[in-house]
Amino acid sequence: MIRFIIRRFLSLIPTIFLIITFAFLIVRSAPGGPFSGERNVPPEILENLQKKYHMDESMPKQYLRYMGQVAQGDLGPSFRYKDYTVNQIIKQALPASMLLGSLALAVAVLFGIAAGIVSALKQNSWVDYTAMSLAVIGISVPLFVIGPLLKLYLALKHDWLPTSGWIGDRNGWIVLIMPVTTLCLPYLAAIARLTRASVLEVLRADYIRTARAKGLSEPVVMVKHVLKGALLPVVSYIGPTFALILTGTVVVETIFTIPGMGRYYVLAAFNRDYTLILGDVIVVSVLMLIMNFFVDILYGYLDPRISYK
Amino acid sequence: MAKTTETKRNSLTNEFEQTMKPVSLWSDAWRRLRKNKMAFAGLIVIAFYFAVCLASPILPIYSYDEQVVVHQNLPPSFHGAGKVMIATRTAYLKQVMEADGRTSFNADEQAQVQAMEQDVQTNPVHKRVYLLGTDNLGRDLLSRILYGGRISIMIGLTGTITAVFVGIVLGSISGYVGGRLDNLLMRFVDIMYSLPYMLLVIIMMALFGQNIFNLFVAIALVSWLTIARVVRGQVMSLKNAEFVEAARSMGASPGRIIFRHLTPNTLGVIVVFSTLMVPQFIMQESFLSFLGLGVSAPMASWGSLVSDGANVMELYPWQLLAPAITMTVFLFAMNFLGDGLRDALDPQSKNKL
Repeated sequence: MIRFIIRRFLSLIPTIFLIITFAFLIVRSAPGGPFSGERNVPPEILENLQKKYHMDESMPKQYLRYMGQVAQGDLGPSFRYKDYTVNQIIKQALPASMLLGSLALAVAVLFGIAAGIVSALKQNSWVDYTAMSLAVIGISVPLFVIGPLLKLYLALKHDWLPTSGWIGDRNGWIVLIMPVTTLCLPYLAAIARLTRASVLEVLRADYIRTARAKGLSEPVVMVKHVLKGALLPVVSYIGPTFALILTGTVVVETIFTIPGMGRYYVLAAFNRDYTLILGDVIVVSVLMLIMNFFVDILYGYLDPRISYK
Repeated sequence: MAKTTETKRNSLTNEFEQTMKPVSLWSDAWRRLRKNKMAFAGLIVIAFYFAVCLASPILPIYSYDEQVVVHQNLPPSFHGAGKVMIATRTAYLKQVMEADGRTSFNADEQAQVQAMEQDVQTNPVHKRVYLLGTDNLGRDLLSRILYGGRISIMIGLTGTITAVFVGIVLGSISGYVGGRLDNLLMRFVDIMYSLPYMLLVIIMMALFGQNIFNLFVAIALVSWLTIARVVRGQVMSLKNAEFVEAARSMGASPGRIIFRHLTPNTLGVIVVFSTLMVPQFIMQESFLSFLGLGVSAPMASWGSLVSDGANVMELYPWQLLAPAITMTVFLFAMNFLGDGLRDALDPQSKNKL
């Protein structure tokens, strides 16, 4: 197992390298450039701009220069936000996205797994039907409908919660309630449905019958045997989802005016802000690789039948 | 299971000593699906959606892009548009009147209503009936929802089918073979996950032209990643099970083991996951359309109708509710059918009643 972990970890380094290379190629092959949006730039100024950002060099040279910078932890200056480096932008925006994302996912995992187990145990009862119908609504109603609706009723009509803002403001932590609720709903619903399906499958397994036959109490059977076996698909789902949710969600950030990463991700793609896009890709991919790494290790602990030989 | 039943069992009785005909997996599944009321209702609802959306060009509805500017934002009604128009106008004028503290219309307002009534009587366009109301350009919402359904259902289904197909094949091979191939395939998945999706879509649209087919390809491109990882996890946990060993000892080829023994046993999770994906694709399309990369006006999709409606939900709630309810009913039916299919295809309940 230790050997597997080490080998698996080492395979992350070439993967990251490949990701940055592919992203570099894709970004550069997109039509338009970072300066094509500005009106009436005289050719001399454009030339100077390109020189400043080393865009006048050949592509391989630019690539090598960029890779060298990244290896030293420098993601370069932003093409669009002229006074900022990409490192500064990420440092400023990532914490808000991470806080929002991890809270939303924590809520989703906690309630989703609980709801999934309850509906599986009471299969085809009204509890099951209610929970699963709510889950379908949670999945099928888009965030840009739930968010404004919550805002309309909780903030504007009843004035219970502040409409927007972030934890630094005078309202404090209470501003988190609405964005976290909005963001967690689709994930909660998905986790609940996956858990239900998986628990139903595990409940029929022979080892559960054995556990019951040897007289284990129902809670012990549930937690130590059923849940452990049933969490596998849920864990597979959460791994990559966690990385994506941590790096920001445009819709929720826009609705509740949260200073997060999601906005930059979309804007950078449209502005062809080359360095900022690549910086975003690097952050997402590092998180993604680490998450999937942990998921693969977790498999072995959740299911002793899985062995990496 | 008692040993006597085991020895007595042949192809004509199951473990409960019930006689049975040898049936294929599919006819057996179909029989069990028909018995599941919720799933069968779901199937009928989906068939209805398909029929109506496919037939929308020949149905007696208005065109989805015809604008009747005077009929902006009319609420749903069984009456002719003229009548609804006058009713909404009078209601509005009454509000103005009350706000001003008057008890009757002034001359100007009366003249307005009269002119409208005259116009309604002479102009045949006011005979149109908008069952689900109109949008802000006076287009018939019913027809837009039907035409939007064609696009959304197609995107939801093609995305899901590609995702399930590619995801099952790559995920199960990766999980079953393991080792170096597994590492290679999964790192490829990691790379695909991390690449900037928005840029991929922009580039695809720029290189190959912005049309619906490319939208399908763009959505299908990254759709299979999560399902491949989920299937891989399931296969890894099942591949050391007794039934796989039994199949292997009987000389079954790896392909047969993967697709006839392992995949059917992961179907439960796969089916639930695919029903989760249909709404996801419909949303994704609406997000792309919102950014100007998806379906372009005057064409509509459920996602774009819902997002347009969400902007005006306080003033004209039907513009949000009509497409949102249509979509939710479809997704509900999809879910129940999915759960029913799961139960019906479950290899462990084969030949049971």
